[in-house]
Amino acid sequence: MGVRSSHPGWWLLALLLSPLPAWAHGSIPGANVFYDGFLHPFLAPAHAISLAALALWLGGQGEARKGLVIGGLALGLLAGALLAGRLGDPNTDLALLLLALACSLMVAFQWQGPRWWVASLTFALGAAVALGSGDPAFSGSPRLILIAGACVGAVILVGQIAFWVDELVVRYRLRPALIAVRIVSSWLSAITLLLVALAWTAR
Amino acid sequence: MKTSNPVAMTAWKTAAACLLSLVFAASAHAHADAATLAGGFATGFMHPVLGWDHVAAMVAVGLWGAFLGDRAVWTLPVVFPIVMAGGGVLGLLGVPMPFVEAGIALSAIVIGAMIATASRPPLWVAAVVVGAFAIFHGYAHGAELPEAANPLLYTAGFMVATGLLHVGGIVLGLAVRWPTGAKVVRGMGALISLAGVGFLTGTL
Repeated sequence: MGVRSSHPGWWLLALLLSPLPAWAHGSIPGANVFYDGFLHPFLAPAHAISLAALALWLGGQGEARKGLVIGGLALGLLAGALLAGRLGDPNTDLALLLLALACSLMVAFQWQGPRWWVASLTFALGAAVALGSGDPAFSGSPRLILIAGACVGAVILVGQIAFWVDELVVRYRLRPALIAVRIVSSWLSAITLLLVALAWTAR
Repeated sequence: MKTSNPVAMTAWKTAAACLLSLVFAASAHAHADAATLAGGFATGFMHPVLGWDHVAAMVAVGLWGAFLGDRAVWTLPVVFPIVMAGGGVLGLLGVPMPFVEAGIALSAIVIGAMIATASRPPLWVAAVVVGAFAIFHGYAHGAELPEAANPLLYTAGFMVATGLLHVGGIVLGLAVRWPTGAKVVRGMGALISLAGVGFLTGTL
């Protein structure tokens, strides 16, 4: 009985082993600057929550609204990236939590909001993400690369979640998916509300 | 790679199994450190799960939502955590609130009774009833939040646990589609209500 290298089991094993080299990259201190920035929106809680809330909202919108949200987010990220150094890398966590609260409440109660509100909200969220992604330890081009990485990471995080919400809720109209999106957004609302209150009382 | 030796074949399988076990060992290492978990997600997650009064009330909310059907299935589990967070803010701010534990027990009594008696009030009334009791549950969670080592993970933990208990209630409540199932669901409501009496009187 022979063992062929094309056996599906071997491919499966190879696939399962592939994460091991990925682990070898180690933690953030050993990674390159772009990777540091790229991971920031995924690992910084306030950034991750606010972008997830925005994505849940974006995914359920029609095409015209999607363009408005994506445009607002892109402009906000650009503005924040350009201003981060001049504003001294401010901590935008509280602002992000407030924006996350607004986005998640909009999803939970299926509120569309006027176009100016949507544009302002997404612009502010993008700017707060980029402003809060800088690091005073970096300067010059590494600093730009760091923030560029964060902006790319933010777009990918939002895009991934929004894509699945769009597919399941808008395209296939799966009711359980819609219910899940609304329930998760209510959890996000509750979490952000409590964290905002905690930050407020800690002052 | 080719081999016709059965012993070699067994060796390859053993080696593959060992490698596979190493892969899963890597996943096991992915856990957060104990200090974070102690005051973080696990503590928050266990807070509603370990309190039977919380469990009874959360499951009752899901059951009632499923029993009412249609929009109530998601409205009640959406309203509850948001209003609960409002109660949590009161707890955080240290606003005195009397009868918190009694309010939690009362939530099990009232919502359980609603299910047992097959009450079908308008959706907004159900949302107000559920929301009013959510304040007591949130207050109890919020009061413990400043002591948590990681407030974000603690909050996420108790919110996820609360949501999963709601979902558990919804899943059980889906049995109302069948006549016998509806009787069973009403029976569960009665049990929850009785348990609430036990919590209130201290017998449970």
